[in-house]
Amino acid sequence: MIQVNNVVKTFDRFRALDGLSMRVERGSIYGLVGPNGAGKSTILRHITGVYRPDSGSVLLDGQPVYENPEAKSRIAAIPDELYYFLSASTRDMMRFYRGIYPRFDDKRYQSLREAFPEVDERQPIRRLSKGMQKQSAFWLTLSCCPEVLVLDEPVDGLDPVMRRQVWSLLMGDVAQRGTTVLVSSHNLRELEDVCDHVGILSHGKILLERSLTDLQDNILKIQTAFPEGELPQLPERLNVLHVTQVGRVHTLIVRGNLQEAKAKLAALNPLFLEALPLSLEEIFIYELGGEDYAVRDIVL
Amino acid sequence: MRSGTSFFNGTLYRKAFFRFWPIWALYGTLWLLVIPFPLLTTALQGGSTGLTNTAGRLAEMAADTPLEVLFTGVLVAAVAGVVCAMAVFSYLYSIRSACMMHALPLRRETLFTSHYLAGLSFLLLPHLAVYLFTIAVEASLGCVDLWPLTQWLLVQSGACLFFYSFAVFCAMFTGHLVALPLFYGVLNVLVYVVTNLVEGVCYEFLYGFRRFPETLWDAVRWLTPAGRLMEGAQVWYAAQGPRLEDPAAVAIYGAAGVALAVAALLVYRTRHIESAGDVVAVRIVRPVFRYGFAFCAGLTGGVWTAALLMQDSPAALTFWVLFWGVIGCFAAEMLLKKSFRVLGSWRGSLGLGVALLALCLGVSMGGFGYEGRVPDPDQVTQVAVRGLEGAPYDSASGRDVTFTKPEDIARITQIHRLATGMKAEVYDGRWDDQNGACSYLTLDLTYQLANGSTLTRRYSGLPIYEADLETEGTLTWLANQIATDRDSVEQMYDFAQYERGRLVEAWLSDVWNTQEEYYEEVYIDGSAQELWDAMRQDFAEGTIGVRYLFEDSPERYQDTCVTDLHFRVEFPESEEAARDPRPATEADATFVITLTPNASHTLALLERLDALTEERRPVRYGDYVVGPEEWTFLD
Repeated sequence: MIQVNNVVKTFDRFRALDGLSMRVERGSIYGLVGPNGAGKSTILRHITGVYRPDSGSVLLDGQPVYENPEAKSRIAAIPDELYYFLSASTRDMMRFYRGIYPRFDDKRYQSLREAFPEVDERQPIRRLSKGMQKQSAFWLTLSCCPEVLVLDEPVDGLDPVMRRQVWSLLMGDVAQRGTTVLVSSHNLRELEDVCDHVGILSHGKILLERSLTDLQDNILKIQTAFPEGELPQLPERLNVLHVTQVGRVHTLIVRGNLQEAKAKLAALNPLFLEALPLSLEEIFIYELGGEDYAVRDIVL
Repeated sequence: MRSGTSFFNGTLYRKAFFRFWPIWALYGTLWLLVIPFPLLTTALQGGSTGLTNTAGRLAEMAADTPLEVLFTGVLVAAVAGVVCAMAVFSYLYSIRSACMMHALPLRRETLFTSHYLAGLSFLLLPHLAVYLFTIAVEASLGCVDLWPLTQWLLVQSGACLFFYSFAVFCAMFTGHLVALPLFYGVLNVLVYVVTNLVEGVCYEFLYGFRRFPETLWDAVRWLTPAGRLMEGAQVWYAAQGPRLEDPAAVAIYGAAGVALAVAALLVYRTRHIESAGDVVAVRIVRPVFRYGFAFCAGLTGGVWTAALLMQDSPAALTFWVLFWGVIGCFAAEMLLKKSFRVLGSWRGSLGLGVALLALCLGVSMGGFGYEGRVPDPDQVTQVAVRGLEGAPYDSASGRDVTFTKPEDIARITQIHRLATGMKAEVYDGRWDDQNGACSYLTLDLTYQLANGSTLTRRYSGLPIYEADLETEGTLTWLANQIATDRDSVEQMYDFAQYERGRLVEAWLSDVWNTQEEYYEEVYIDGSAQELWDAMRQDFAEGTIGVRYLFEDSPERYQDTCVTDLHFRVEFPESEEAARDPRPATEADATFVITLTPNASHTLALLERLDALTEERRPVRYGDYVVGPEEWTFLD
C-alpha cells in the first residue's frame, strides 16, 4: 500500500505540492488525474523516491521510499519523458536493470519479447520511434517484476492496438501478481476503462479520492423538461453543480444520491426526467469547476 | 539485496566505465605516447640515426622522462579531471537522466561512490597500465629504472586524484553541464585573482598600503592548486639524477582530494534532484554565488575599466567598482533564474551597491584606521627601512636598514607619522614652492611588533626640500639624519655580508681615458683584499660611502665621482646548502661603492697599482654632469 501523507514540495517560491495526501491500496489501479501543473508528475517522482519532500512522508507498506533501496526495488516507473543511456539498446538496458533490480526476471524478459515483436532489442533505443521506445520501456519495466508500477502518461505515443496490448499486460499483472498500478494520464476515457480508484489533483492537493464506482454514483447528470419551458425554482437541498439548457431540455449536474435527486425534481412535475451516466472526464471537469478552475468554461 | 546497504554497485560502475571508454582510452594513449613509446622508437632507430651510445641514451630517458613530463602532466591532470567528472556525473544535469538514475533502488552513497570510482578509474587505471607497460619495455631494452617511473605514477595519480575530486566537488554545486568546467576553472584561480585585485584596489585606496603579508600570499599559493602543484612538480638535477621540487605538496593535495570527495558526497546527499538544469544547484549557495559573482565582477571590471580609461583616482575606481558590481549582481541573477527579466530583484543589487559604496568610502576615508596607524615605539622590536639611502647609486641603494635601538625606532615612527600627514600633498602632487629645490622619497617600512605581528607601509612621492635640511623636525631633516648616520650607512652597504665571502677580483668602472676620450673599465690584478682594506679604512674615516639625500646637491657634485669601485666576492657553501643536494644557485655577488675625491687611502692604492694614472682618471660627478669641456680631474 502506498501512503502519501501531507506532502509539501516547493520549487523556488512555487508550492507544487501543498499538503497532498493520498492512499493507493495494494492490487488496485489508481488513476491520478488533474489539470496541467496540478503536481501529478511531482507526486509520482516522490513516490518513486526521486524527490525528497519538504515535509510529509511517502510510505510503501509503512516504509519510507526516499533513500530506501529495499522499498524502491519494489517500484518500477515509466516516466512521461523516457531516458536511456546514449546508444544503449533494449538488451543493454536489460543487462543494466538486471544488475540493479533484484527481482528482474530473465524468463519474463524473454516471454515479453512476443508482446513487443516489433522492437529490435539490439537497436539503440534512441533510434526507435517514440511508440517503439515506449514499448521498450514497458518491456524492460515489466521484466523488473515490480510490486508497484508507476506510470506517467504511459500509453502516450502508442497506437490503439498496442495500447490495448499494454493495458492487457498490466491488467494481467494486477490479476496474477497483485501488482499495484498508479497511473497518471490526461486520457480520462482510457482511465475510466481500467482504473478502479481515482484521485483528482488540483493546485498540489488531492481534491477527491474515491473508487470509480463511488465517484460515478456521487455525481449525476439529469435531463429534464418542464411545461413552462423555463427551469422552475429548484429545491434548496438539491446540490446542483451546473445547469445547461438546449431548447426546452435542461441538463443538471447534481451531487448526491440518484433516487433522492429524482424524487426532488419529480415534485416539480417535469414533462420528463431522465438520469444519464457521467463519464470520468465529465466528473473531472465538474469537480474541478468548484476549484475556480477555468477549464470548465473552456471545455463545455 | 544486492545494493541495499552497499556503498558500491558493480553494475553501475561497469556501466559508467565502459560507457565513457573513449576518455580513458585517449588518456592512456597519451601517456603511452609520452613515456614508453619514445624508448621504443629510440631503441629501434638508435642504429640508423647514428647514435653511438643507445644504451646510455635509453638509461637517461628512463631516468629523466617520467619526471620531466610531470610539469605538463599537472596541466593534463587538471583538464582530464574535469572531463571525467563531467562524464560520470553528467546524469545530474538533465531532469530526465537525473530522475531515471535516482529512481533506481540505490542509495545516493552508492550512486556517488560507484560513479566517483568509475571516473577515478578513467585516470588511475591508464596510469597503472602505462606503468606496467613501461617496466616491460624497459626490461626488454635493459634500462629498467623503477624509481622515476614510480614517482611519476604516484605524483600523476596524486594530481589526478586532487583535480578529479575537486571537479566532482564543483559538480555537486551545479546542475548545468556547461557551468561545471567554468566553475572549476574559475575556482582554480579565484583566490589568486581576487587577492591580486583586492591588493590592487587597496593599493589605490589605502595611503601607505604596500602589499599583503607573505603568509597570506603563501596561503594564496596553496589555494591556487594548479600553480602550486606545477611548482611542486618542477624537476632539478642532482648528481644522482633528476629530483622533484616538492613531492610533499602532491601528497598534501592528494589528501585534500580525498577530503573533497567526502565533502562532495555530503553535498550530493542533500542535493535536490529537481535542480538539474540550474546553474547553482544547492539552494544555500545561491546567495553566495550571486553576491560573490557581483563582488568579483565589481573588482575585476572596476580595476580593468579604470586602468583602461587611465583613471587612477579613488573616486573613479569607486564608480567603476560600483557600476560593475551592480551589473554583476543582475548578471548573476540572470544565470540563477535563467531569464533576462531580473529587474524585479533590484533590491539585492541596490543592497550590494550600497555595501560596495560603503566599503570603498570606508577604505578610502582612512581604511578603518589603517592609514593613520603608526605603532607606538614601545611596541616595536625592530623596524626595517628602505628608501632613505639617497645618492649615489651603488650597493647601498635599495637596501633595508634595520633599527633596533629605541631612539632610532622613535625617529622612524616620527618619520612615519609625518608621512601619514602628507596624504593630500602626495595625492595632489603639491609641493611648497617657497621651500626651494624639491625631491621625492619612496619609503618602505617594515615593523616587527612586540606581539609578533608585522606591520608594513609604503609611501611614494613624499616631498622633501633642500631648504628644510637644517629645520629640525621636518621630514627632510629626519630623513637626512638617517641617510648621513654612519651606522645606518654601514648597514646599507652591509660590508659584513661580503666579508663572509672570498674576494675574487676588483675593478673600476667609468674611468675616463684622457687619451682615447672614453669611459673604460680597469681591472686590478691580485690586490683585491688590499683595496678592500683601504676602502674600509676610508669608510671608517668617513671619506667614502657618503650619502646625499638630494642627488643634485652641490656637495654630491663636488664630493663624489662617477667612477665606481667593484669587488666580486665568492661565498663558501653554507652547512645548510651543503646538506641540500641541489646545486647552489647564487654563489657569488658584486659589491659596488662610488669613489670620492676624499678617499685618500683608496685613491693612493689605486694609483700605486697603476689602476689610476695620468691617462686614466676618475671623474667628479659634477664634472660628469657638465661635460668634458669644463672637467678638472682629481689630483
